[in-house]
Amino acid sequence: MDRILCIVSRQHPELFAYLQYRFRDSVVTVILDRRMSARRQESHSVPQERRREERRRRPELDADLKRHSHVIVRLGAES
Amino acid sequence: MTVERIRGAQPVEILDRVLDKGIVVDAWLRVALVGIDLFRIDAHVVVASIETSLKYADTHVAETPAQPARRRPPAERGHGPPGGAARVVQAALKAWNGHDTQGYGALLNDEYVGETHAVPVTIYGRGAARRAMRMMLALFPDLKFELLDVITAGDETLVSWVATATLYHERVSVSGCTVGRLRDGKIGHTWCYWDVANMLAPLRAVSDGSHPLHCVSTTS
Repeated sequence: MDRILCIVSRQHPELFAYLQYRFRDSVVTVILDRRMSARRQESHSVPQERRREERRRRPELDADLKRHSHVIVRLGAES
Repeated sequence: MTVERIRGAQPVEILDRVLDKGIVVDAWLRVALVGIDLFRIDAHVVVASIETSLKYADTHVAETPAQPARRRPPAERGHGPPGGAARVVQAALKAWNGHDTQGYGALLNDEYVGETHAVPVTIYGRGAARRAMRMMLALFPDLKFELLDVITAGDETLVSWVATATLYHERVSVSGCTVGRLRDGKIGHTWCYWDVANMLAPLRAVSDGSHPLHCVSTTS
């Protein structure tokens, strides 16, 4: 069975608490968004860039969580 | 419920009375100077305090023997078939977007309970749910819900949506969700979450901001 992840924006802690309560012991995992902000943007160049690549696999989630209180992610094909 | 008729009052005074006492207004008010609208209220029905009105509605339902109000704890498990959840959600959405209060009521269980986050009024029974829906549609006549996603886990259903409506000539759009539970193939319980403050911002701008407004929905 597919796993379903429900990511709740930090701006909606009460929604997070309620969803976590209602979907306990189910295939739906409710988590609070852990992403703080986009990676830092240096205005000046650095001698050696140590950051290799974007670690976030779903950058579009950031935009979705700014517009909506939560987003649903289905993990069946990946996990 | 008493009916007060206000004659010769200033617009601000009328609005203040409405916001303070939760009066249902059926009026069209316009103050113009040399043909230019300065201040206009053109809502057919403004329910300024839905909380007050729903308290009245709940009392009415509780007093009706055919529809006894039974309080259940929010976490109580139902026994409805989860397989029909998607069909019920689609039907509920169609009823809301079609402003079909009878159709929506028919989807509800006899012991339906409706809650909305941050609103201290709980709706018990089909009749109260229909009245709440009518109030909601009176306040937002062109209210539409766009379905974003539906997930079902056992008896629990999470419906994600975006609601759009026009309020005081402003187009407002609010995202939210409804956690529902089926009971015997019908909607037994809903808990609705949305950003009420955003949706009512244009209305609050008309008042002086000192009266908190509440908005109740029983969407599924």
